Amino acid sequence: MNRNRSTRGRKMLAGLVCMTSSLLGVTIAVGLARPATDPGCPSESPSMWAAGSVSSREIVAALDGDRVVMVDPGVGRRKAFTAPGGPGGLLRHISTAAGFGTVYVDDRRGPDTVVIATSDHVFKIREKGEATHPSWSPSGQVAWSVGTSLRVWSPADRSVGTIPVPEAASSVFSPVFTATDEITAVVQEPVPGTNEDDSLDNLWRYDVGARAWTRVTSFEADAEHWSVIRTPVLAPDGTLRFVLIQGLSSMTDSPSYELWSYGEGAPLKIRDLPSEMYLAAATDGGLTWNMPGGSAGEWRLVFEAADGTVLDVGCGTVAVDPVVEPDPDITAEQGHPDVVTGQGLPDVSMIRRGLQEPVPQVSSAAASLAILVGDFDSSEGALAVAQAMSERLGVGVPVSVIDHSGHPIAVRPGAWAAVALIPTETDPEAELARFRTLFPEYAGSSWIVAL
Amino acid sequence: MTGWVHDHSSAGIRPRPNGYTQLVATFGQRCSDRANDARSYWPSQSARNVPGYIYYHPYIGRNVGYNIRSHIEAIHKNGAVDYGVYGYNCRYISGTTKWSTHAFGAAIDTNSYRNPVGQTYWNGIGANGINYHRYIPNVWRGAYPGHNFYWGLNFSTNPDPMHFQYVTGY
Repeated sequence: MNRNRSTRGRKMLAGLVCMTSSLLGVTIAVGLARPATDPGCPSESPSMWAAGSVSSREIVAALDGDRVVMVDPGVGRRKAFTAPGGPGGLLRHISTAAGFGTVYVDDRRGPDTVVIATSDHVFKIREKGEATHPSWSPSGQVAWSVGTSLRVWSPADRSVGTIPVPEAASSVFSPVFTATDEITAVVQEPVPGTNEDDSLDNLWRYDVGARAWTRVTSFEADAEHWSVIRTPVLAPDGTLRFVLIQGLSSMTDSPSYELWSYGEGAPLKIRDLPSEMYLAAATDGGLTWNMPGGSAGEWRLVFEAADGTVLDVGCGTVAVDPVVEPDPDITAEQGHPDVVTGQGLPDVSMIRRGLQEPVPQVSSAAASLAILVGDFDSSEGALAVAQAMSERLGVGVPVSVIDHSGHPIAVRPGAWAAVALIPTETDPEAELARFRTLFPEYAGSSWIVAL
Repeated sequence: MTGWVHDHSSAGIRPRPNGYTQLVATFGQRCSDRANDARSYWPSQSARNVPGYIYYHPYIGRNVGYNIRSHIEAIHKNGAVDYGVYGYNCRYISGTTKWSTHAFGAAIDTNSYRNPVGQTYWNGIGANGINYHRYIPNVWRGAYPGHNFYWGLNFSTNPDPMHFQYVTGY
């Protein structure tokens, strides 16, 4: 039997200690875990944006809807401001630097705008496409990604330069100035046999003077195993901290999350992480994380002090992407309904024009769906399972054995499968769940197929 | 295949969610056991003229397996499909902390080799070298004459012509 559904995904260790409270500013527990409850995001009346509101390296800037929130994570204190760039689209990816300012991305349908708020000006730099992950240099420069290159803004002459992606790489993102003349960024590298999603990332370092990239990590991936890097941040000791996530494309489980460090020499794994979480900042007091706050797609800010004490400091995003707010670049097409009731017949002439082919008559509920168990290398193997299915499912459920010659889209050549038809008026998912309860031995080899 | 006809009933083409909340309500959480519970067999799946299974969520099982895959098979246009063809995939969207719609079993990539992400047009040349123009996207996309998938070519800043997803706003 060909079992394609993977059960090889690594299970994550359970959280060390569950958070026992989610009240803002309340010390919760020792050890990190996904927030146990979803307290919602209380509205905060924003003050007018004040230049120079960041006076300490301990302050973390976050975005909460259309507001910029300055958080002192060690004590859980928050202050909200109206975004300095004025009303915009979807705000994401913010970075702040004491003495220089705050920068974030205003994500709109089409080109995005990078908003740089310094002590005396607000600069809006309109890009040609997506802009992501702006960050500050020690001398007040700002770097961000536009996918296939990095862009660098200079406060001296307000010029914007371009650093192309390393040769043969797919994209570059999350740049971090590891020195005034050195940027370390995440580079997506192509992996044969994979689709457009992320399969392999490595850290690369760009020498501004030499205008040259150097690969500094050597993580690997293939068509099934993936390894990606997210949210690198510069720690006060000058090292880079980042989250390494590894998984399998076929897995139906959580991937592994790990905290890593990169400074001089080889990258170093610090520890496993208990769940999905991303770095927001590394300050003298500890690490600030962005963690999913519940099923609704909310992001929480969680401060982890050096002694392991954990504090939930409320809603907000730093380097993570909002998920609840609709992506302005993926909106419904005009003229096409989001919901199709299927009650009316389509315009056959339109179908003929669009598909340039004879179109079979349209029928309501014409499809036959089935629960398939397979694949078997012999018809005898499939027949034995079909007989067992027939006995337990009862006479009212048609069960048969199929092969590729009769059902070319359901089973491959040289294989056989047992199928039980699903009545058209029933929910296929519910039928599959019921089937797997009756036949737990086939849970990993049963699928919904169209016949 | 004989006797095949479209199923444009509400069971064949189900409501398409919009936004993350509706996506999760419809397809469940990312990388769940449900997300790859349906399958169909595609020509030129992993490589040119190398067929294979793709997996996806049962919510779109009737639409993908019957309306789309059977359609291509029934009218003898398997040659229009070119590799790679991908379905369920527990991965992130590149460079983001967002899970791919493939991780929910809500998206299919097809003819990927000739239609990479970033390409601003559809290359309709199939595995057999014949140009089928927009036949393949027209089967997938829109309400009619397609089957209500959202085409990644319409992503406003990063077109993805290989990509068809059964959700908008995410």
